[in-house]
Amino acid sequence: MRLSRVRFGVLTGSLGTVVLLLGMSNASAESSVSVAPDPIPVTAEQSAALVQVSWSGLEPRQLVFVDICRKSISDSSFTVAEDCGAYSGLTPNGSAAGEGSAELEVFRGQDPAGEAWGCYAEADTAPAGVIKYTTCFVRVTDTTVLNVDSDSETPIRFEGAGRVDPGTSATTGAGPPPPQLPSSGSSSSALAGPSTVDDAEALQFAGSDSGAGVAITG
Amino acid sequence: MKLKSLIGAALVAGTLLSGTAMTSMAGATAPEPSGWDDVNDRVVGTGSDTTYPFMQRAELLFNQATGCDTDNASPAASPATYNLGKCLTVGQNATNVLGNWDHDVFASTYPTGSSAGVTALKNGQVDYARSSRGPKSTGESALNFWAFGKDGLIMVTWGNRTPGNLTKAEIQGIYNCTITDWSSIAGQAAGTIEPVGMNASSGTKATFDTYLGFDANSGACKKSLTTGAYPFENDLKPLVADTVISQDNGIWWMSAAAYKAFSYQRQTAAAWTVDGKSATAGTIANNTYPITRFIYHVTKKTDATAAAASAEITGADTGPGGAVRELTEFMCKPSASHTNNDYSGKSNYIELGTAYTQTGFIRVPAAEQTNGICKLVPGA
Repeated sequence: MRLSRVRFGVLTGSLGTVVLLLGMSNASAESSVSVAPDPIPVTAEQSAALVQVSWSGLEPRQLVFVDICRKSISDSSFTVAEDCGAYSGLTPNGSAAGEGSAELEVFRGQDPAGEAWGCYAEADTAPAGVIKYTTCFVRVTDTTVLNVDSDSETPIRFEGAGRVDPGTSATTGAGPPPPQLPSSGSSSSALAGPSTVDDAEALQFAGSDSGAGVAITG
Repeated sequence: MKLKSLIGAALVAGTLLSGTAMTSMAGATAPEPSGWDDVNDRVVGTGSDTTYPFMQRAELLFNQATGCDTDNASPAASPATYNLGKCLTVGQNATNVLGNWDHDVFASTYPTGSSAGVTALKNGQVDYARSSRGPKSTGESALNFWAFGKDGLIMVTWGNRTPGNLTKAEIQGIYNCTITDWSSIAGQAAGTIEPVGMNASSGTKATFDTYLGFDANSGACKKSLTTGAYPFENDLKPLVADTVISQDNGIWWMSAAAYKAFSYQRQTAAAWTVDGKSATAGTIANNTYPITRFIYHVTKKTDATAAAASAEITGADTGPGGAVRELTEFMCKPSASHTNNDYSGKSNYIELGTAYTQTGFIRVPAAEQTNGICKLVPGA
């Protein structure tokens, strides 16, 4: 599941443009990213899940930025500061090959930094005033988090029984609850079995959250 | 712009802002809203290198923030009484008191180091200070340290050394010179370790000293630049350019925020895990990363202070001190108390959020906030 800016542009353009840009896309180095498992299985109790993020095509030996975002990078209004979780990213060292992988804890529920959005399973209930995204995105880029020349993304979705999200401390005024990960048995199963989804599906996911798929609950 | 916060709070609370009430609060005369000196003060701060990029951005946003309608007439013949762009005292139509009413102007001077900035503030040489360390145990009782963000310290190597993990004991051993060869560290190729020191006024050094339990510059094996000076924090360029410091055997520490945000300063630095933990925003936020710290905006207590758990900043009412109070409130108030930036149309809370992202810091986590979205640590 990968969706670089170039490729997204390719797939959303007119047919003629698609053919032209596909050639450009294939000729240029572009990054890609995938997440396993996909979708992410969760129990009703889980407020976070561990996934394996794998990337390639980044600038060699440059710092890598892995972030969880509510909007697609193809959305013209996307900004890292407003649309990616401030507390949920990783910054692994880059490799000589520009590829690598890392274990990422994906939050299920309100953004841990307390902003008024979150990533949810379809059956989840978000706190009042918190925008419920049933598709979020894992974005990778290199050198600086603001670098949009190397970034790519993949959509992520939770699949499982619904949960009522109490919200983060910024919403509730209480201390932050520790993330509830699955037990060791289910954790290993959550990281097993990487699946692949083609770009057409990626476009569907992106479309659902940039339009009618966004739900405001409460 | 001095009692604006009180007025802003009253506005937020839905209090009717009658001219009588306003005048009473401010002890000032019409036009309303008043309570300020209607003069755009020029206010200067200095100190930390680490927080310099953030404060420059925050100051720009505050300088741009909405305020009074100004007197734009050409300078009068008596310049001593003239203040360009002061608030109109007649025909004032502006009402938004949640920005920068007086259009006070803030500027950060080039970094001198946190402790040098704090000292300059104590001496009255500047109006506020930037600090990447908290207050010392004594000698700073006249100051308030307003934590507006959080950071971590990371251990870095560069050149061809591949990062691994360091324990606290290993870091202490490297800097007290009891661990002298990389072969003592799991998975590392042999080579004489060259621990590099840091500018003594640096808050990043002060934080690291506290973590170590001793002065990082005190070990016999520590390295300085060929010039004999210790490098300023976070900037690897002088170390990379130095002909004496080994590129493959040196080790240093940096602000995690600066490391993430400024690739030119970072050069080829690569971060190590400490006690098995990576310095991510999440591990810094929840303190599971072992070396975290707050970053501070420092004021005189007489200029800006607050009651326990209150987001209301009180203190000076006039002059640069009052302006400092207003900037402090601007940085520490929650989203709902901000208005939009006149240039972007976005809330100044969001604009400040962008400044955090651009400079690598995170806001103070909710569980650690004491006043608004800041954590107030009074000096002792």
